[in-house]
Amino acid sequence: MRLIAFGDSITHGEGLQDKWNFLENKGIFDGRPSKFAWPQLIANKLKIKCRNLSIGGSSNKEIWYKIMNTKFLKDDIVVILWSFHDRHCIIKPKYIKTFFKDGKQKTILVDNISQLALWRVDIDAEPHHKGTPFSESKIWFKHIHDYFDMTIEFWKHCNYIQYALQDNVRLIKHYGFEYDAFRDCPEWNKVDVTFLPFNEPINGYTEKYPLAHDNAHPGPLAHEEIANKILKEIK
Amino acid sequence: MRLIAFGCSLTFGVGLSDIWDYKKNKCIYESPSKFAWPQLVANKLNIECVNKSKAGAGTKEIWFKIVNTKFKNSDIVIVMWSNINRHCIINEENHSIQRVNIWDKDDQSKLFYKYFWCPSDFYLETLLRVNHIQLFLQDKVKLIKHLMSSDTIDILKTKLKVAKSDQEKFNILTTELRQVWNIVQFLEFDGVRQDICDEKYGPLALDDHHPGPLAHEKFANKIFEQIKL
Repeated sequence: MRLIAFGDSITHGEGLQDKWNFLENKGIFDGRPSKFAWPQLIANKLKIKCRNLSIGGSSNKEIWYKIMNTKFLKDDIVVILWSFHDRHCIIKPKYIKTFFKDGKQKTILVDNISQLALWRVDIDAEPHHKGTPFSESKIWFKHIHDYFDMTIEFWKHCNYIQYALQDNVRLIKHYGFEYDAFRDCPEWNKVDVTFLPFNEPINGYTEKYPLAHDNAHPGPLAHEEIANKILKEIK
Repeated sequence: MRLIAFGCSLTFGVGLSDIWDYKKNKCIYESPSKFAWPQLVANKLNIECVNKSKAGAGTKEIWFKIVNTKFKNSDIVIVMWSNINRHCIINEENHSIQRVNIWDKDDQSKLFYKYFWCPSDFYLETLLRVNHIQLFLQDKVKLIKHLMSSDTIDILKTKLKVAKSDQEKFNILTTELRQVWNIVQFLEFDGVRQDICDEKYGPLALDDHHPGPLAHEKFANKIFEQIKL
């Protein structure tokens, strides 16, 4: 049995102690998730293997794409922590990357996904984040983005995943932290998404517990509480 | 039993005689044509026709219309998916649709197609919506059929036959396309092709752009052959 987790930087565990360079006081972005993030904590308690397939900065569309391109086993437990609704991405054709290994030329196909996010509007893209130039995010949010429209798109993505996976894995659990999504839940929705109060002013995880080292993401105690909450539901 | 049809102008029957204003020489968009394929199929099946198509609708708009429609177990649902290069934004107020089309001249549309429209992204979007509707409806209604016009299918087929050097780039996309092909079995409406319209389907509709009455009739026969009970 395996626990397979999908999500954004929160699920990745950005800012936690093993993803933090204390000498230079900056994050470590090597593509590997933190062993102190909630997926690994749950897997430890269940004594099963953990595959944390989260992507920092990802939108719900990118999470959907990642899930659709993942091979599952019948006894997998899949837990998805969906992301913010003000993020989007454009999935472009994969590109071919050529490299040399053992003196031989090899080629691999690499995903080519441009992230569009609100945090790109005012600041230039940080080097560890892939995506469009920040000016494109600026255009997106000024002229195209609509929060309600993106909320409908979120429900489409999570409903599709539920239909696509429900007969192919042992269990799927959906979590979200965008309160407005629950308010705008459409009648046609068939998925039970559990709300996790991350940024809520009262009793929110980032309010209740110290933040991670980057002063932006949930700290270790918040991850512990999330892990315990999810564990109770999947046990 | 009812036949419920969704789609764009090809399903609405734009340009057909009963919804044509001969004085102003333009289409009347109040209600769909009784000479469009949905009504013709319903006539053959001797059942009620509910044509919920809207001229100019894109894939997303059609998808949104379907998920918000109440169905009965005995319904036959036929969806004629539209051109993939149409987009829309769903507004909170009354869930109104704000269209973003490649031919529109407003800033929003121009910026969208300049910076954010990418064919591979929209193929995936189309596949996602078609598959979602299939999964959403398959236990709710008696039958679902997915249709596409020839020009849209041509675009998708072109992607299946890309030049060898580009083949790998589209590897994942084409795999997904083939899966969808197998699941939903698109039925092709070739009456939309102007190059073959006259010889095979008679003249175009009165707007000189959309399929004429004979094309609708032949397409209705094709659908009827596939769904007759």
